[in-house]
Amino acid sequence: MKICVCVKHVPDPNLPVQVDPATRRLIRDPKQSIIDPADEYGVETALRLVEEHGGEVVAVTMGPPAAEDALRRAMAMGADRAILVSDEALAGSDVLGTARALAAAIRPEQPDLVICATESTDAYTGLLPGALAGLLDLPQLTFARAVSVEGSTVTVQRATETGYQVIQATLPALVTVTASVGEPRYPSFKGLMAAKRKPIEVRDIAELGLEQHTVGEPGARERVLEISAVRQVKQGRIVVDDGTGESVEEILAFLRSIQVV
Amino acid sequence: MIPTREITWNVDLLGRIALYALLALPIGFLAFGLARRLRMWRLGRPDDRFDRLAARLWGAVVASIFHARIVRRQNLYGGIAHALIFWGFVVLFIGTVIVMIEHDITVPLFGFSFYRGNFYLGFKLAMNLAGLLLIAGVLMALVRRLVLRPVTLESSADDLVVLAFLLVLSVQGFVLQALRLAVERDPWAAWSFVSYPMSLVLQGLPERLLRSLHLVNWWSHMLTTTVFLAYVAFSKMIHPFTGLASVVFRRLQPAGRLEPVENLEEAERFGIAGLQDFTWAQLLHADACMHCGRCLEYCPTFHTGKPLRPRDLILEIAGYVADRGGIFSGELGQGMNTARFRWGSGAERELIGGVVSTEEIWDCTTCGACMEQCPVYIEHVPLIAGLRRHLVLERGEFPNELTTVFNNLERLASPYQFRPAQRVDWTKKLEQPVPEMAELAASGEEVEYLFWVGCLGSFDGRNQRTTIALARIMQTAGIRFAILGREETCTGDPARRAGNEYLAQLLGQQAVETLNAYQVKKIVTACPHCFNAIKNEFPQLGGHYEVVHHSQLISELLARGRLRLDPDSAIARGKVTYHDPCYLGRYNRVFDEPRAALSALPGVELAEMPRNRSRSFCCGGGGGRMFMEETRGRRINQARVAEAQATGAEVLAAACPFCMTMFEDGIRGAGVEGNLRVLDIAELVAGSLVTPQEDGTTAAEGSYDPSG
Repeated sequence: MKICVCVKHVPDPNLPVQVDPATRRLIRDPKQSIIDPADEYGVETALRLVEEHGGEVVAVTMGPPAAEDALRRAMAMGADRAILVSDEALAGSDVLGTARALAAAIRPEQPDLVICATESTDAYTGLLPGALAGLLDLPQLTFARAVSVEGSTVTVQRATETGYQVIQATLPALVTVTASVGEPRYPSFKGLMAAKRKPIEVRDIAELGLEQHTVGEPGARERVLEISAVRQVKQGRIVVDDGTGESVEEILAFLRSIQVV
Repeated sequence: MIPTREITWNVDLLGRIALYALLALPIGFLAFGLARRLRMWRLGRPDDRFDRLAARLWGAVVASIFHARIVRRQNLYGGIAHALIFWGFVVLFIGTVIVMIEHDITVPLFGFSFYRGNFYLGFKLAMNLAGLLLIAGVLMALVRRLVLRPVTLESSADDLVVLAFLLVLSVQGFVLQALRLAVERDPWAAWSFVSYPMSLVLQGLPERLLRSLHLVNWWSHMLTTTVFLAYVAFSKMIHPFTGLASVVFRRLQPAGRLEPVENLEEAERFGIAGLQDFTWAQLLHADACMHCGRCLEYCPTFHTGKPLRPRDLILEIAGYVADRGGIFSGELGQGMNTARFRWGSGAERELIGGVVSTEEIWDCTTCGACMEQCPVYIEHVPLIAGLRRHLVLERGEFPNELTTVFNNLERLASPYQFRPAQRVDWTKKLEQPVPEMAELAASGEEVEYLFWVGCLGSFDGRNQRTTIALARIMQTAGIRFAILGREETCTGDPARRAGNEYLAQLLGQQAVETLNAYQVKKIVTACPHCFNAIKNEFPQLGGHYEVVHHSQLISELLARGRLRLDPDSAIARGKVTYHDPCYLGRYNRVFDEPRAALSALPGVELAEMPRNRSRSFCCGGGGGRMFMEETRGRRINQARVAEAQATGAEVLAAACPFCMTMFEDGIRGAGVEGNLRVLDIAELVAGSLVTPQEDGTTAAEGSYDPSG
């Protein structure tokens, strides 16, 4: 089977976020950007499926040339090929524009499965997988905590607030995964070396047959109107035990009130 | 009458001929056994161990004749027992050779006899003494194995069989001599001070009986000797050969250096995962292990009940090799091949996961206590590093906690999630500015020292206080220094010791490039791990610097009177105990300077822990362990904190940021915050500093609060 995994090069989420007040955009320092940790779960899922059923994993991203780094990481983990959609004309794309570009790159691959993370760790819109499924005309199975394929059927455990649903679709399909699908592997040195030597297939909008007015800044219908820092409210309460052990009851009462126990 | 004796008294010609024919057998066995071993060692990958032959041979002399690593404080009883057996055996062996020279060479060929007169009398005295030492040593060893049973020792049938042989042989020798003396009644018999009294008892028996007994005894002695010699090649008694070879071909490089993987990008296999991955020296070392258990004496994982026991690791490897056509010294001791020893149970078992467990591989703190103690210089830590390299580089399998560490090292050149720019944050807490090399290079200024702060000293709140204290000391002493600041990167030490050789080389090269770009010559650091990497591993990458540990610099400044200490403002009084960091002490032999610095503190009395200097007990943080959860056995840091507390000290002096973090945790974990504090040497000294004032007077460093 052939699986396309979407990955994104994002500013290291473990470092403080910096926003350019003029453009109202994230400052993206390629040196401190990494593959989106959420996407590593998608890559891991794809690799496990291909290890089980055979086939090919193709990592796909859109971004400036530096976004290649995210693809190299995916290949170091084990992805077979990588496609970088990169064009000056794509700068400033909104979700739909991005989805159009990715769909145009993915469509000729004719994958059995497209895997995305539930949402990116920089913008957190969570809209792209839906748009992509729509453009590719694929059924979408979201919030997967487990993914399996049997014959031409993909089965997903879809996480919900109270448990999970088991849903199925006939391939081809699009799946979004959560962090419960399994710990992503750390690339072995052999993987790293192999990834360095593998070519990256770069596509511009002309090759993808995209028209300028549908993508990039001109095609974007979303506008960032305002950006402001969220005030961090200190969470949690400290219960101090005075030596009598009464705090235990207090903590239990609290846990009951939020229905944890 | 000149004192001597007929060498083959009471034995006829046939017997003499039979003796020599018989001896050919075990010598053949021995030659065969050694040849097999040699062939096995030669299976290993190449490793140049033929340099500096004089040093190698001298080391072998020190290790064998002087028992340098056998008689030691922790194991005095076992060491003395071994020394008695060794000396008894060696003297008796030399004695036998002397008799053979007389009997088979000088007399028949040259008609010259020296086995007479005063030489003969001295010889008798020496042989009796040696026999007595041998018996005493064997009895001590038997008591140790059967009665005392130290925790570091496990006995197999082989161990006891060898001791029984030695005991029987030496008793037979004395009885033989006593029987002859009982018949011959040499006037000088008293020189044989052990067998002479025995002969007096036997004199009452009829001569015929004595002669018969002598002949029976002579034959049984010769047969025992033959069987024993044949047994040598297939038992632990091979160790005079393998042990000596192991010592001669020991590693002469600095102990703190881990050899890099050469041509990483072209290599086909990484680390150790099978028979073909060992060097010949590693095969020889594994073969030389006599499971004496000295490696366990100061081993942090052994003493806290973890799966890793360095002795067992080596035995497992030796057994693995033996299963694949090699030969194992303890072959006849496979009674031990039970739960603890997984070797010898089939050639299909994988080395990693089958013979050696991944728990054992990841437990190691790389403290080097095993290598320090091993009498035959087995190199446990490089073996562990080899196994880790395979797991990390080929399989990408390692404890989860390391994923973040590797990712951070790769992306941020530090095990922590901080921006490089944050490396200079600590300097804001000082009144005087600390220049960065980039600034100085721009203005063409030169400095005496580059202060290599290290990742823990830069980012970790607790260790920043050490960094600030050291900067303050250097500023007070008027030393011109600078930091690399945002250009500083990890030395690669945690990556290398956690098996990620790729990252280690990347980081090391980056650091050397930065240092060379500024033509740095002298470096001071408060981190023994950085110190060790810069001193022992950077030269491989083209980085040659003079590097001192801050304890060395501080003790020198104190000795030269460049620092004044105020007797009233001391931050610690009374008993202070010092913990030797493994990478400073054991690996780089810096023991005295930290103690000198502490002793110079007013009102401080240095109290030693029982395990100190080269016998220090690890804090548990080395080898990447600080970043991993300690889930097996008891906590190493708490064991060491308890030892520090037992000295009655209120302050545990540290000289390493890893130890600092481990002990802060250990003190909290043990719940002894009120009784014991951990302070770096720099903090202790800075806390007692008298700083020169602008107006020429001096003031105590009152504002310095080590607890804040």
